[in-house]
Amino acid sequence: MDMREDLYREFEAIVGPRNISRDKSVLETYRCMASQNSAHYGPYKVRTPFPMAVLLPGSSEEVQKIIRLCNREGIHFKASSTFWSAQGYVSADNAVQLDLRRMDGVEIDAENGIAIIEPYAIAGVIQAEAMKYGYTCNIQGVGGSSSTVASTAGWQGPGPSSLFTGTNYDNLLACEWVLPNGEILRTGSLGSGDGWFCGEGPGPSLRAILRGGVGTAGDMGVCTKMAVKLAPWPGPDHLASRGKAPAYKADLPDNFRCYTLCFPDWEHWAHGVQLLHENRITYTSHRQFNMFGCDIKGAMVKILSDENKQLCDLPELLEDPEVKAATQDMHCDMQIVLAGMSEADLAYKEAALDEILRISGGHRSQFMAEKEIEDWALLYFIRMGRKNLNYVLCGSYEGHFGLARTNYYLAASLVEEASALKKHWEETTPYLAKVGGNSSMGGLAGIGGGGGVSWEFFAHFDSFDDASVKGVAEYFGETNKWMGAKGLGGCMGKVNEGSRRPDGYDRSQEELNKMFQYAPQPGVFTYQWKVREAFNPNHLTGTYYKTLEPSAVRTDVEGAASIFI
Amino acid sequence: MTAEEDLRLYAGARAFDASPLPSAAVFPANGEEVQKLVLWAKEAGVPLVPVSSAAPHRSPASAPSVPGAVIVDLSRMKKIHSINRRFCMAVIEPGVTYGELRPALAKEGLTINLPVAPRPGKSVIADLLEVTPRRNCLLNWNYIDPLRCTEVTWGDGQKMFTGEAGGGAPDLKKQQSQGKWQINGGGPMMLDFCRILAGSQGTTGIVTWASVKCEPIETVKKVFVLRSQDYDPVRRAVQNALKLRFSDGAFLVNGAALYRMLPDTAQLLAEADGGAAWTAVIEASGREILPEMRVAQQEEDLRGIAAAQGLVLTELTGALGETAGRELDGSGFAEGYAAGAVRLPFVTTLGKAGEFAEKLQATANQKDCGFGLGLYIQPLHQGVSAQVEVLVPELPEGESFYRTALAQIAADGGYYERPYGDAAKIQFGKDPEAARTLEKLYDIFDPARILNPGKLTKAAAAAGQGEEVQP
Repeated sequence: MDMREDLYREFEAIVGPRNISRDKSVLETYRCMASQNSAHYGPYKVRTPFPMAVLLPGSSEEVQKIIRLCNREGIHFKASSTFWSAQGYVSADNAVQLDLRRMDGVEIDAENGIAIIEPYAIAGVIQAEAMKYGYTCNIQGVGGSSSTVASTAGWQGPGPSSLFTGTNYDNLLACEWVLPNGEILRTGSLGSGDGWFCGEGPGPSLRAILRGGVGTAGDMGVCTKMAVKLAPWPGPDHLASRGKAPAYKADLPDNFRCYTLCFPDWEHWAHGVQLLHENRITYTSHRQFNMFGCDIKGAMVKILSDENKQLCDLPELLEDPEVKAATQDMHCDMQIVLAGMSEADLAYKEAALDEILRISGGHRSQFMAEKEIEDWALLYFIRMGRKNLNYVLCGSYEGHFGLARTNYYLAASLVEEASALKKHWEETTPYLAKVGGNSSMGGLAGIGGGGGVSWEFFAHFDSFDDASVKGVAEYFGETNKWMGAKGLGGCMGKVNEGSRRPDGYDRSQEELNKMFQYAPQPGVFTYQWKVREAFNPNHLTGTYYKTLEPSAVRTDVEGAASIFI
Repeated sequence: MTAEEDLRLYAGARAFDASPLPSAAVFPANGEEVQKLVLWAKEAGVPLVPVSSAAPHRSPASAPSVPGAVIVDLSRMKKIHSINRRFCMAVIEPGVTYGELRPALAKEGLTINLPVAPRPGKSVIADLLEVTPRRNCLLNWNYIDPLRCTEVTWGDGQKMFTGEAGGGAPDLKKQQSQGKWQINGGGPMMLDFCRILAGSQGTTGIVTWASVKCEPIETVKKVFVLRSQDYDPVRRAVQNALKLRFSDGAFLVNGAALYRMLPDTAQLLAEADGGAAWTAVIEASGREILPEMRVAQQEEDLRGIAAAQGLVLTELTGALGETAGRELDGSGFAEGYAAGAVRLPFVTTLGKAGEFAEKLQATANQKDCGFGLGLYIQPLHQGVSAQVEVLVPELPEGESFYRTALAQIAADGGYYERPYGDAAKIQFGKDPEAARTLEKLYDIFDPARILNPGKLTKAAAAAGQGEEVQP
C-alpha cells in the first residue's frame, strides 16, 4: 500500500531524509516469512505484509512524534531492533516499520552494577562493555547477537546464565517507553528524574502494563531505553579467545570451569537440577548440545569444536566407539560453568558440585572435559554467540513441546515419552531430521535463582521444502494434542498461532474472542483487553497482545479450549 | 465489629498522619466471602480497607484515609495450604504471620528470606505486598521476590489467580494435584498482575492467598559486623561483597537505628569497642551442602574485602552472637522495632545513601531536635539500589523534622517507591505521567475507587490533573 505524499513528507521531517525509505527493494527486506513462532518455521512462501515505509528514528522524541502521527492518521506501526522473528514485523497494509538500529547506546554504571541500554544494543556488546568493569549480563537464549531490550520488553528473556544472573524479566530496572497512544512513560525512579536504579512503583509498578510473564511483542508501544541489572564477571576485561572459525575457544583463567554432567536417568537428573537451584554454585547452567539430537550430539560436538572437521565427517564419527560411548553417557546431561570469585569460592563450588553429584548420582563427562572441547563449550555458554548452529542440520528449526515449565520433575518423567512421539515422526515421515527423537534443550532456570526450567525440543527441517514445512505443522498438531492430554497446556510450537492469520495479517477481535472465550480464567485476557483499550485505543500495533472482550466470555462449557500459556 | 474501642485498633497508625475511625470491621473466612464483600461495597459505594496482621496495626497502608470505611480484617485466614520442600514453595493465607509460618517451614527444612526484626504478629503476605525489603538482597533476583502467585479479588469484584496459577483452572488443589506449585509469579501473560498488587497499599485488590519462595533452612550461621565512624568504608565493603555475591544478609545502620533494632547487641558492642557511628551487619550461612565450608569461604572472602577498606570483620560470638541472631529475627519485638517512631522509607543507591544520611542529620541538628535520628540502609535487588529508612521519633519536634525531611529527600533525588501519606503527594507531584497512568489502571481494576481510597488514588488524581503539590 502506498503512502500519501504529504504524509510521507511529515514522517521524513521527523527522522530526516536519510532515515526513511519507501523504495520497494528496501521494503522487501523488512518482510519476514509469516511464521507464527520464531523465525524459522514456514510457510516460507507467505511473507508479512509490505510496510508503507521504513523509518529509522534516532531518539525517544522522534519515536514519540512518529507514534503521534500514526495515531492521528490511523496508521499501524511496529518497531523492531534485531528482527529475530515475525513478531517484529508489521501485520497490516497501512503500516510503517520502525527500525531502531540507530539507537544502540550502552552506558555502564559501574558503581551500582547497572547497564543503561538502547534497543539496538545487542547482548554481546553489552557484555563486552560490562566486562571492562567486572560485570557481565544475562544473555537471552536467543543469543548474543540479539537485542536485550527486545528480549526484555518484547518476549521472555531466560538464558543459560539466568540461575545466576537472573532473567531479563528479573533484571529490568527503570525504562523509558513510548506507549501506543504516544505518551512517554518513564517507570520507577526514572519517572521523577531520580535515576535508573529502580523500575518499580511509585506504589503499584507501572511496568506491569509493559511486560508480564512474557513481553508485549511490540504491541504495547516502543521501549526506547532501559536499565538492566548486571552480574559479576570474575575474569579479564575482555573475553579472550583462540582458534579459527567456527571452532573458537575461550582463553580464560583457571577460575572458569565448564563441565557436562551426566545422570543415570531423568529422576536423578531432576534431582541434580533441584540441588543446583538450591545451592546456586553455577555461573551458567544449560542443556545445550542435545539440541542436535540425542544420537548425534557427541559427533556434532567433535565436528563443531574442531576447525578441521565438517558435517560430512558425521557418518564416520557416529561409528567411532569413543564418541558412541560418550553420546550414550550423555543421554541425561546438562552443561554448567563454574566461576570462582576467589580461590576459596572456587574451591567451595568444586567441592559442592562433587557433593551434589554424589547425592544425585551424577558424574562429569570425561569426553567433554578434553581441553579443546571444554574451552569451546566455555566460550559457547559465556558469549552465546553461536545461534547459527541451531540451523546447521537442515537450514531451519523450530522449538516445540515446551515441556518443562516449573515442575521439572514432572517434565523429566515425560521426556522419553515425548521423545518417542518425535522419533516416530522422524522414522515414519520424511519431514524431520532423524536424530534419535530426543532433542530436548534449554536453560536450567526460567527464574532467577532457580525454580522452573525453560525447555524445548528442536525440530530440524527444511523450510525451502513445502512438504517438510507442512509435515512439521502436522507434527506440531500432534505434539499439541499430546501436551493437552497430559494437562501441560499448549505446545510452544503453536503458541503464537493466534497472533497472525496464516496470510501474515492481524487476527480480528472476533477470532481472538473465539480462542480465549473458554479460558479457565478469562480475566487474564479480559484485563489485557481493557489495558489495550486504555493505552492503545486505536489498535495500531498488532494481535500478539492477547485480548478477549469481556462480553465474549463463555462459561457454558468448562475447559473447552486449551489455553495458550 | 462496630464498637468504638475495638475500631480504634485500626485507626491512627502513625502519629503524623491523622486517620479517621472506620465504621466497622468484618472478618471474612475465605476468598469467596472477600469477593462478596467487594461486590457489595462496589454496589453500596463503601470504602474497604484490607488488614491482615495482628494488632497493633502500625502500617500506614492499613489505616483508613476516609471516613466510613469498613476494615476487611483477614487475620482469620490462617491456612497454610501447602509447603513443598522439593520446589521450596509455600502457599499461605493472609492471616498467617511470621510467628506461625517460620516454625511450620522449619519442620519441612525450609525458611523464608526475612526482613530485619519482623514482629511475630506481622502478616507475611501483607509484608510482601508492602515490598518490605529483605535482609538478604542477593536472593532478590526479582525486586518483589519472594512473592510469587496470588489469588486476588480486584476492586471491580472479579476474582482470579495471578502468575502461572492464572493459566490453569481456578482451583488451587486441582492445580497442585497436577504438579503445579505456583512457582512463577510473572504474568501469566503480558500483563504483570502481581506488580499491580505489590506496593499498592491495598488499593487495587485484596489477596486471599499467595505463594512464596522459600529457602532450605540454614544449618550453620554466623553474624559479623563492620564498624566505623565513617559511612563510606563500610558502604564500600558491603557493596564490594554484594558485587561478588558474598554474604547471606547485609545492611547498614547508624547508632540510633542499631539501638532501636538490636538493642542488646548494640549495648554489648558499645561495651566492647566504645561505639561507632556506622555498623554493617553481615550474615553468612550454610544450608545442606557443605555448610561449614561455605561459611568458612564467605568469612575468608568477607574478611579480605573488609581489610581492603581498612576495616575489621568481627564475628559476633557467644552471648553476643546469640543475642544478635535472636534480635535480627525479631522474636523480641511484639510491636516491631519501629514502635514509637515513624518510618520514612525512600530508595536511592548505596553511594548516595551516605549523602542523604549526612544531610538529614544536619537538618535534625539545625532544628535542634534533640533526638537520635535512626537511619537504616538496606541494599535492594542484589545491590543495585538501597532503601534508606529514616526512623523519626513520635515527638512534636519529630513531626517538624519529618515534614521538612519529606520535601528535602524528594528535592535531593530520593525516590518514594513506597509512598505513604504525604510522600505520595510529593512523589506523584514529581511524576505526573505516573499518576495519569496509575489513574487509568484504577479505572480498570477499581473503577468505583472503593479499595483504600485516599491513599494513592487521591494523590495520583490530584497530580495527574496538574494540581499544585504542597508538601
